[in-house]
Amino acid sequence: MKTDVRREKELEIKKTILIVEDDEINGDILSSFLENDFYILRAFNGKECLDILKRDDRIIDMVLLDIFMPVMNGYQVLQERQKNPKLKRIPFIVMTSETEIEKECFHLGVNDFIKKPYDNPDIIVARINRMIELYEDRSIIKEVKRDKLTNLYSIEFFKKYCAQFNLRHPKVKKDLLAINITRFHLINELYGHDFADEILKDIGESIKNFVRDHEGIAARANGDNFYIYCYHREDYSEFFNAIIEHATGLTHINIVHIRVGIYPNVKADMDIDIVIGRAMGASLAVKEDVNRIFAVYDVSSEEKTHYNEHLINSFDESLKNKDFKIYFQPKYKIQGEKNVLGSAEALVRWVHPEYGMVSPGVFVPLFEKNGLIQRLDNYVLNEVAEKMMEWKNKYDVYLPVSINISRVDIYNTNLEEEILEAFDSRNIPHEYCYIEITESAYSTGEDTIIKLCSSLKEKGFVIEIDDFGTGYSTLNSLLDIPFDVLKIDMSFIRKLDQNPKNANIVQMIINICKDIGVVSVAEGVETERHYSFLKEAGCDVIQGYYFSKPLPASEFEELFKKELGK
Amino acid sequence: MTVEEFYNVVGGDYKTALERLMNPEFIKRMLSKFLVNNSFHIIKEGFENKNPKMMFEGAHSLKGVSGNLSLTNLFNKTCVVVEATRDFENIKEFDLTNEMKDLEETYLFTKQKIEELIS
Repeated sequence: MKTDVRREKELEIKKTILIVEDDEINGDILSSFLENDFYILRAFNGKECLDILKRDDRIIDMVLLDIFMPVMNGYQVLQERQKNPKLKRIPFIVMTSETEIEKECFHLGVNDFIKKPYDNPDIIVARINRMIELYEDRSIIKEVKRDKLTNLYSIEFFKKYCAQFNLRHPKVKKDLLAINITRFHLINELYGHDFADEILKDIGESIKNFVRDHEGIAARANGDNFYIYCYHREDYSEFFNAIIEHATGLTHINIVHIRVGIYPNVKADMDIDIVIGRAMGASLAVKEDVNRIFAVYDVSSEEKTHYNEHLINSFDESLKNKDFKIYFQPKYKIQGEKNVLGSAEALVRWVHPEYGMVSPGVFVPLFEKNGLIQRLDNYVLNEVAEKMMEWKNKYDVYLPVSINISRVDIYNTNLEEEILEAFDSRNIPHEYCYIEITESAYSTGEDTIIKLCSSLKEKGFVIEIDDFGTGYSTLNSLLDIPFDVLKIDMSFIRKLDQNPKNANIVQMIINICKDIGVVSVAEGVETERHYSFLKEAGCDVIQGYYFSKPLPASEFEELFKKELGK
Repeated sequence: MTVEEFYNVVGGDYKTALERLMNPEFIKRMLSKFLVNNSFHIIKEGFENKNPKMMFEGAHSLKGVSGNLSLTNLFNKTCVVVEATRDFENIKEFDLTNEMKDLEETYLFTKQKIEELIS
């Protein structure tokens, strides 16, 4: 019985005592009495005491207060406490050698006194413990502190103590573990509630042993859900095996499988309910796999999710403020005597007000998932059309521009209407409007894409197949899609130097283009060797850093002017 | 000199000190901190400036420390000054020359013996 009491005591979270004493020696002596049983904080005058309490009143379980101190004395502290309901929840014991001041201190709400010179240390510790218990019982009398079956904390207390644990160990990395038993309801049904309870008690014992040996606290919530909050560890496998072995020893049959979700490195300011939820979520990842015991919550994915949410939330504002900038990458015809700027590809860049330049590789897939891509595509259509109109008015020339249509936007039933609206409202002839469809789009939504491309082509638009060679399409699928231009994916071009097979494939694609009467375009052309090869191979148009990187509209306009000789 | 011998020399209560502070090493550590405690200097400054409030504050502090260290002789001499200045708000004139002399002698002697103990 005595042992049980001692072990129970070991499971209690240590309380925190704030010693307010200007004299270092007295404070040190008092600390030496208490440091085995409590966490000790020190303040050397009343002002320091109030500063600590105002900053972190939740972590202080008791204040031991001297009266005569410089800067601010103990009376002044007690008067401040009288005015502040939060501070009134913390018991105060005054340390004094002056019996005369006790009456006044009682009037100021002091709960007890410690005589100076100090009594026997054991008496002081007992007195402090009793006062803390009295206060704790008074403030949380209606809450159940412990789970009856396992004697671990109840979930309510666990959450409260997690917050205290965070504040007391701010610099230590901590993990939250959610443990439950796979198909526990079956154990209940097959072996009965009493037997199931024995298993729960047994697991509770293993958990108690763990948190006793490694700094931590633990709880059982409803049914078979256990939680541990403890110092971070890289490897818990020994502990998990101990739970299973212990439970198996009890049942003599291998029916207990646990699954554990771990939320690693919990930040002190996180809402503990959210952390518990995420640890539980991670545990679901191992639900159906009996060979796996635990899963660690992916914190990086959480950060990515927050980042993505922020991007999505700022979409409207950015669209309104025109933070999406249209860049133009020149495309050159290379089969004449002279290389000629023939057209450009419009590319969207996001100059985010907070994050700066955000890559399309980040925001396009994101917007494709939630449908915002349709609005972005429409924005780009109109921005490009506006620019084409502006250049026509300035230089009396239409420069063809390719516009990418997202594969998701293909399913937008208004897409064709939106394209027509963007160009027809500005009286731009369709022959200057190039519509780029990625290969992945025509491999996933063939019927829709065939209808769209056919209709646009009939109306005079130029259809380009983008990224050719990267998806799962077959050459056969190209037969059904009406198109005018085939863009060879840049991955082929970039590997031209690495593998002779690449050169053969590129040559073959160019030949096919010639045979079926479509224009071949090579993307990602960066070097003189690339250029020479493609010219020799008969490629019609090239695009890439060899000629120019994508340029902001103003810079592209300068290049365009120069080409025109203006 | 042992810690117990030190207490005997300065008129302290070694038994109580040991009960309170648990072990001689910790007692020595606290005594060495006592060497830099400035309570006595506050009392002296208060005395020289005829400031009974200052004397009370210093004496009260010294009383607490000497009491916790069971330096009984010094504690008793300090208590005399505490009581003599307790009503500092109403003290108009005072002559504590003898009490101060007594206290200073005891303080300096105790301090000297602590230095010998820890050297």
